[in-house]
Amino acid sequence: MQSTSSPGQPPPDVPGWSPGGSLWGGLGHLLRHSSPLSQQLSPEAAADTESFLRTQCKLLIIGAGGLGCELLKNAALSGFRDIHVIDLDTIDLTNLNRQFLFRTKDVGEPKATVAADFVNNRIPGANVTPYHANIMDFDKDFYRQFHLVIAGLDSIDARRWLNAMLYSLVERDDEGNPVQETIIPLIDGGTEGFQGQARIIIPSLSSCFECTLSLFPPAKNFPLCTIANTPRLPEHCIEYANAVLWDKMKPFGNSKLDTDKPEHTNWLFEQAKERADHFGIKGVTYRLTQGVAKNIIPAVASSNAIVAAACANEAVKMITSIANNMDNYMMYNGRYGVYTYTYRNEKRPDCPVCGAPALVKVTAKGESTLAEFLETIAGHPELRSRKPFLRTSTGKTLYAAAPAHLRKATEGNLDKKLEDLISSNMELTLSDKDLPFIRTVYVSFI
Amino acid sequence: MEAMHELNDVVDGAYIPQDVSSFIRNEEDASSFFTRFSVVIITQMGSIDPTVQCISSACFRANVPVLLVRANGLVGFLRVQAREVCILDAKDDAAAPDLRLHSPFKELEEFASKFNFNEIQDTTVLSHIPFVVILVQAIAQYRKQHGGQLPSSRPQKEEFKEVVKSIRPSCCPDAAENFEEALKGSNLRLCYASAREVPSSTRAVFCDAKSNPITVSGLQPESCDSSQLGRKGAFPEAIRYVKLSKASSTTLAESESNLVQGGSTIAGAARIANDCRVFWLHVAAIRDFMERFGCLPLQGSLPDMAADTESYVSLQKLYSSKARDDARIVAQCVNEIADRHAVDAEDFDEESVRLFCKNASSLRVYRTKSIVEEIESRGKGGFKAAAEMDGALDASQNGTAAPYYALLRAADQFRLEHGREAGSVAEMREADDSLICEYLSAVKEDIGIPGTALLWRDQATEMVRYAGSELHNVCAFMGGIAAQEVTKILTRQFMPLDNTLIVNFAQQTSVTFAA
Ligand SMILES: [Zn+2]
Repeated sequence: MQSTSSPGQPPPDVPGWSPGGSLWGGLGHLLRHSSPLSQQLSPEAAADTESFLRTQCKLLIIGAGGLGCELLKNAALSGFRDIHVIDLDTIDLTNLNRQFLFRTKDVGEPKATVAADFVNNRIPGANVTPYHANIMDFDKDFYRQFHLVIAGLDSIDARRWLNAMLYSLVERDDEGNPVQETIIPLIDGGTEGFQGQARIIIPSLSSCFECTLSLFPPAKNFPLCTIANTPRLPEHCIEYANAVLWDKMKPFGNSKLDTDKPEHTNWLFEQAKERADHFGIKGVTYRLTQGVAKNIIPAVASSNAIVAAACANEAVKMITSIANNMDNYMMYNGRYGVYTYTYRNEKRPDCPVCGAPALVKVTAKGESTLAEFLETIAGHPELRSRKPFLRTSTGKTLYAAAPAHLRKATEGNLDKKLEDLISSNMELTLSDKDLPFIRTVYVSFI
Repeated sequence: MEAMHELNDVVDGAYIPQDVSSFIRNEEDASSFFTRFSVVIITQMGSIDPTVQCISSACFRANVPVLLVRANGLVGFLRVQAREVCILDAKDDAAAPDLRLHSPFKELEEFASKFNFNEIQDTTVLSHIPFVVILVQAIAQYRKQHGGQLPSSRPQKEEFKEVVKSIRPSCCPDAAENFEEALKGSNLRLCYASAREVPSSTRAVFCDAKSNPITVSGLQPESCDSSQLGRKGAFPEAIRYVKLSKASSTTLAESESNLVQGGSTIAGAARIANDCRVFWLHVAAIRDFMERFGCLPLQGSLPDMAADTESYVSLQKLYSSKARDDARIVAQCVNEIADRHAVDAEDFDEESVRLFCKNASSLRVYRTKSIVEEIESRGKGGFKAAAEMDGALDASQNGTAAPYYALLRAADQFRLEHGREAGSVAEMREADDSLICEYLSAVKEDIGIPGTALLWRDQATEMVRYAGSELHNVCAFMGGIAAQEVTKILTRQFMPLDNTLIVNFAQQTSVTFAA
């Protein structure tokens, strides 16, 4: 690149501006030139956009892990400055191969803080604010302050919660139409092995995360009877140590299993190994133990780089209008060659978040216990409620997983038969601490 | 180099801070310089650039894979060139489990016949008999009634299904998981006559001329002028990166000897040639096995299935010991072929033969056309079909990625002739735009794309708008893909991109084709 002949002034505080090379270069150039395929862009508008990006635009990035590190780096190098990042985790040694904002000395420190410090030190102008916290610790007022949210989360539950939170911020005018200024777009990225997806969610206008929940099938759990009675795979032995032995043997007193603690994982490994040897099952290793206990699908660094770059590119396009946004969902698969597919994901009319949800019909045996019924609800593909608050339509609470005093008051019901608590063909109201919406469940006995 | 070392402190590398065209002036230079590497990545240079042509020709001859990766505005491009990559494990998800149900071996038949379903009363025990046992018994029954034949026609398959159902005693519940597994289409298919055929994706390797067990042409050294390999001293000295940014000057030879320490002493093209020879030796041996026994050597792994621990583990042992027996036979074939062709026995051992057998159905050969041939072949590659599929030949469609293949070539032509990017000088933009359109017409004609001058006219202006600018996220995306493909090629696992990818980042669409 040799010319700096583009009209309009370069950002005053960034040295070395040229169309190709510098931080602002490529973007600054595209902002100042149009084509029949782009919007009409003018040098004045370009300067406004750059000034907005530099002084006003507030970006929230959720997650500072595999995708989060990439997203932070991409956003800061694309010119975003006021960036906020939330992550609950601390840095583990096994993160270092792909979460490149962390070094060996950072192990044990909060991801959000270390990532923010790294980017602030490395990229001139970047101003990243970290929150070492859970996304659910923040209220509507917190989320309302951002122009745009990008999520790089691996937890389906967290993505559902975030999606519903941003949807709940949308206000409606007298005619029931969404008020533009209250809509905060969400760019959501996810990867699994060699696959991933990047999508744009415009709350109330486009399909939302909940609309497509069925694309993310619940994690396959091994049935307890297999684990306990007929183990065949090394995974079955590890899951036995995890699900049964830990609570029974309490190897570290009353402390809960923390898979980030090597001594905990090692205990699981030793128990699983012993059980596997007893049954003649081969293949229990420390690595596999860690994988099973943490429910990890091996992360592929390149998939994170690819999906995060696609997300950040959409963010840049959204804020700068150098090109239109994709519409609205990109699937990526790098397992066999390289394959991407971009299509418009349509809203689901009966989406529990953005549509008019239908009753969820569940069948159960009258003589089964409430505890068994709750397991059905936890495994139900559309509900996946693990901390349920279940009431009858007359307001009687059958069970509340939280808060603690309500749980104490209702846990006596767990062993009662369903037919002694409710009658068949009855509507129940289900809410969940982790899922910000209410569903009506229609129970019939079989 | 410093940043790379910061990311991973075992990175050991050297650099030459010079324009590559200043010391690679012809194919001979390229041959002697690049064949010491296992893979070469070229960034931000066009395929018609003379230096790129020198490098890619030399690397193609020496079988060193090349990746050409670029970003221009909102367009990304990646081309992989490899004469031959021998893939050890394509990790094909769709591959059916290898249970040998179509021709059960003696030990498997004996094991299955020990179960007498009608004598077992306990339904828990009944429902924990592995489905493999059910199917082996069903096959034996069916064959007895059909002169030893396997089911192949539709009515025969229906009949076989009834045989499977008839094995379930009335006391065993309908929903017993093992019977459900036995009746699953994908498992029934393992018993049909068609299951004996090796799937076509796998067959390709074993049909390849290089795998013929008699000639084993894969063992012959490739025509490659070895006097050119590793010619030293004619190039600028590489600066080896040393920690704490104390750069010190060493010759490439020194840094190379550091790179290969502790491992094999051969690197680059020689190493790749050796890996290929080992591959073809094993493939030839497995082909020999197939010709004698009518099937691939047994993989030896057992998928999870409803079963009690004891019968599952016994079955697992049965399969793995049969796989070991098969591998031993293959090892004999390897030795015979190696003796016949005077191949060094250091290149293989029992363990490597076992691994080849385990992955036999996932062995693949990956080959691409050379970049030079692509340019000269005048549209004989897969581009036109891909562009048509992509809807790019319809002038009203402007969201597709395919047009940018032609436009990058046009932009390359512009750069070659004018020494700068089209669109990089404001006053010249309109003139550049017309020129790019002229180049585009020539490229379209060259690659056989019909249509009016209007086709891809707007994309041409968009290309001029980009003017070779680099956007961080476009570079990050393409870099991520290139890293992924390099990993596949070096580990020889999964299938690399075949062979060109164009990404349109304005619409986030992409197209791939074999150029
Ligand atoms: Zn929705």
